[in-house]
Amino acid sequence: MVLFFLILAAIGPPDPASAACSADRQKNAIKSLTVAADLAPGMLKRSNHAFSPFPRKRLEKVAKFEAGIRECGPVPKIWDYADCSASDEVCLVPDIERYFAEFCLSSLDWIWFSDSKSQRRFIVRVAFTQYLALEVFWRKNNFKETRELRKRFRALNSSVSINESAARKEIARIKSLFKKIEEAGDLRKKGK
Amino acid sequence: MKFSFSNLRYQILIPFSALLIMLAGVMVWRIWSEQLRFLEAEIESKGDAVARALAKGTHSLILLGDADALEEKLKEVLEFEADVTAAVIYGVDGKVLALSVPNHVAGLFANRPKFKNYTDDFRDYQLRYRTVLDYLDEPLGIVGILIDKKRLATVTHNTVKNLAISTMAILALVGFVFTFFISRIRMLGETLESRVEDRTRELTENQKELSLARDAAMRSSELKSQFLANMSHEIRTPINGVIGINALLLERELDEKTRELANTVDRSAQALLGVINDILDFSKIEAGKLEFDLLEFKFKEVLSGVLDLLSMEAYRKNVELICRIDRRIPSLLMGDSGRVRQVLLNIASNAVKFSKGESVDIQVSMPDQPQSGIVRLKFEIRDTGVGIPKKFQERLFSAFDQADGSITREFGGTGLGLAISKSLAEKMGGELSFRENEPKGSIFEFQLNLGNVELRPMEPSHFESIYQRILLVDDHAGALEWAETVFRESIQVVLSAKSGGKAVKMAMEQEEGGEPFDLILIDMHLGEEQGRFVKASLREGLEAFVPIGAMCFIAEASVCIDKHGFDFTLNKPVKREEVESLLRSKIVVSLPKKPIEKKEITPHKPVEEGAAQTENDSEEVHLRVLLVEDNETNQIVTQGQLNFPGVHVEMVSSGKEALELLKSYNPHIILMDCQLPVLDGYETSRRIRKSGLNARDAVIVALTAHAMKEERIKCIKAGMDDHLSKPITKAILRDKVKEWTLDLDMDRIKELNSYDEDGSMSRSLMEGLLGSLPFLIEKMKKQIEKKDWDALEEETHSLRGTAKNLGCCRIGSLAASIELRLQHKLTGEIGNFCDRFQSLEGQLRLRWEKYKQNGG
Repeated sequence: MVLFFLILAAIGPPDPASAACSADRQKNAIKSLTVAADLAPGMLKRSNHAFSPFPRKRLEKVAKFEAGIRECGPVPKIWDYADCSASDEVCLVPDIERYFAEFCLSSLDWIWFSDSKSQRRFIVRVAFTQYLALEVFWRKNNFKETRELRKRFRALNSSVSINESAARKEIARIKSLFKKIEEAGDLRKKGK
Repeated sequence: MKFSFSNLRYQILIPFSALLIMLAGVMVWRIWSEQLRFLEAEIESKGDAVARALAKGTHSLILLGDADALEEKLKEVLEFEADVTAAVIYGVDGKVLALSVPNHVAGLFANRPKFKNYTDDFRDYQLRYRTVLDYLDEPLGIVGILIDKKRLATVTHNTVKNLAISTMAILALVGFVFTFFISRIRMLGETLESRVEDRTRELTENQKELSLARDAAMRSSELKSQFLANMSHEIRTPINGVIGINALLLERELDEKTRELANTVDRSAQALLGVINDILDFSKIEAGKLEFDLLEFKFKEVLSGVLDLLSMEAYRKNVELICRIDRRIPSLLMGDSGRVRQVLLNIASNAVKFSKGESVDIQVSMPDQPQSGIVRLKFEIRDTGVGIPKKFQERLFSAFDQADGSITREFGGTGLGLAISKSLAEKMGGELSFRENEPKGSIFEFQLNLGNVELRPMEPSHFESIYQRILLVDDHAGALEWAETVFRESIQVVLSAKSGGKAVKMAMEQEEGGEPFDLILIDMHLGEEQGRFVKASLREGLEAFVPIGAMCFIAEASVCIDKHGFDFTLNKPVKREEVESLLRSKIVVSLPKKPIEKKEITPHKPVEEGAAQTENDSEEVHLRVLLVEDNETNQIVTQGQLNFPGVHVEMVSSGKEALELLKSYNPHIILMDCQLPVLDGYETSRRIRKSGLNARDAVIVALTAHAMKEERIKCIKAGMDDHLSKPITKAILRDKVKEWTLDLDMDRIKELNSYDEDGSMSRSLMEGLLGSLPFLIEKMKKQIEKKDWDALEEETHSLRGTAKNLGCCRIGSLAASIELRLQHKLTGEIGNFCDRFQSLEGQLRLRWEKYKQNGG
């Protein structure tokens, strides 16, 4: 029994992504990620309304993509952000930009799931596309970090296929800038 | 097969093929156009979709400044979209960010693009630009794609080509099918033609057979007609003898029993003659040979003749006979008076025959005003007799069909009368119909179209009646009403009584009131009272003498006067002209009393009047007659009929004898029997006309038992002037002789003079005729020379009418004879007639001068 546990300890816990995510699933997950990224601009555009009401079916669609992605990697859950208590048909997602910001950051983490340079660059483009949708939202609030973020994404795009460490740094900067924007947003809300 | 447009196959195939090709052309052109439009739309939509996708998919790459990714993107597009030949991405500053352009189309991208969505079209390509926008719709760059139109065009062209090939194939198929059907139709046509030929041949054969059958039928019909003519001749000759001899017998002093027997013989002979006439008429109608002699006639004379005949039977059967006549009916009409008489007599005599002690009401009216010289007369014969059972009404007008077999036994007749009358009425433009009379009896109605010769109605000129107040007594409402109507036309006060008692009372009251009647007329058959008793009561009751007359049948007139003591009589049925005659004359009552009607009824003028006119007015003057007759009975009959003073009759038995006698005897008129031994009547007449004898211009009248029209034409062809069909009664013979020997009919002259106030109408008319006759004769001579027969026919027709209207009998008869010859194209001997006209003109002139010298 002890030996068994020792062996287990030597092997270590299974990497959820590598353990459960086969090549096919991974491909499917990236496809879902791409589609979800395409959904972001439209959904963020709608969130300009005070209560950001969304049809439940649309959110279910988002959740379906999430499930596809989640088999291979982390992704936020739309149901954690949605409030469907008022109606069976319509749900409110008052903090949707936060959801997409989380989604975007999760996408950046996906870069490292593949060794393919072109796939890594593709994921960068997916994340950047999501960011561009968020940027529309954020630029309305005059966050000065957005210009910096574009630079960081360009740098990430340049480095991801040639210099992994530089790329990781860029990702860290992006995350940091995201955090700043989030905090600025909270402060602004509190200030109101 | 040679081409020929007359061939049905090509006549159908060529236009049909042309039509199909045109249709196919239009269809291909239409599809081609549609395909081109579709091609343009396809390129448009495809180019737009690719450009839009490319613009959308590259905006993040442009922002990232990832040129390699952009290049890859362009390659992807070129790889997946076969129609996209080249693609370029420009930045906001117009610099090329990525491109994938083959060399052969590089020149198309030479121009710097504008920052908007647009399209540049080239012959084989389309260059489409689309701006790349970010999420805030700000331009990030522009993508350009080059679409190759050739491939799509090729596909379209192939489609159209295939379609055209298919259409041609379908056309070929249709053409083949069509040709096949045309061949079939032609085969069917040939079969049909062959059948038609067969049927035509059969029809021709049938027609030949029918033609033969028709010829046989016609021959049979001719034989039948000939048989009828012969039969008619053979029967008429002995009947003529029977009737004629019997008539001579009746003129003698006979005891009552013998007279009764002789009368029975006469009735039987007349009945037999009636049957023969009916059969002959019916066979003529059936053979379509019934023809009408259109001549002028006096309607009232025809009607009067019918009524006289009917009144005897009505008297015998105690039937009240009434005849109402519309006074607007013209006196002179044109038509076949014999046929008019026949129809009316037939229907009316039936009505009397089937009535017993009831009444027969004859009404003649003119429903419409005469138009275009035509007078339409409506005859209605109403009886209150036994009527006709419903089951017999349908076949009432069928030949040989009487309502009941017992009728023949009881009333006699052949059953042809109504059928003949119906046909005659129809031929005269009318219709004979029957309906039931309420409450009993029958009504027969028929109409006739007759010619209107003169516009003067039959009513006479107005006159002053001698009598002003009259009482009429009759128990029959209809008869009384009609008598009242007629008397009221001339008299102011006409009172009537339906019974003797009432009449006596009225007469006495009027006398007491100081207004006695001038005249009283009593129906002889006044119910149980009887007219004679009423007359006796009136004589006793009235203080002053009033002439009392009897309304009776002609047969009882003498009894009324001589036995019952009436002052005068008026014949029943009451006729307008007799009433007027009565009211014009002063009734002279003396012993022995003479019946008035004897004055009124004008007997046929003796022929000597005509003879007198030919020479002088003395009684001694002779009318010379030659009778050529081989039958002894007929010799006796004819001689008896002509036996009156002033007439000299010579008699021979053959044509040869006649020719011999004519050398020394110059007759005015020759009565020529046609069926003579050795030399028949026709040949004898021819020889007389061609001879140099004085008698060559004598009038020749044929006496024949043949009643057919052909016989009449045959006589005229032989040179005879007229024709008499046996049996010949005394009256008919005298009328005919008068017609041909009387220069001037004095009765007609008197009648004409009565039409105007100063009584000189005849003078002006006669002077006019005498003045124009020489010119007319000259004109006719020229027409004969020129052989202008139509003009001559018109001239003689006109002369005939004028002469007969003026009473110039001989000239009128001669004109009629010429007209008849011309109608039958018998122009051979017509030249001789002008001499005869001239001779007659001289005699007429002499006669007229004498009349004037005598104060006419």
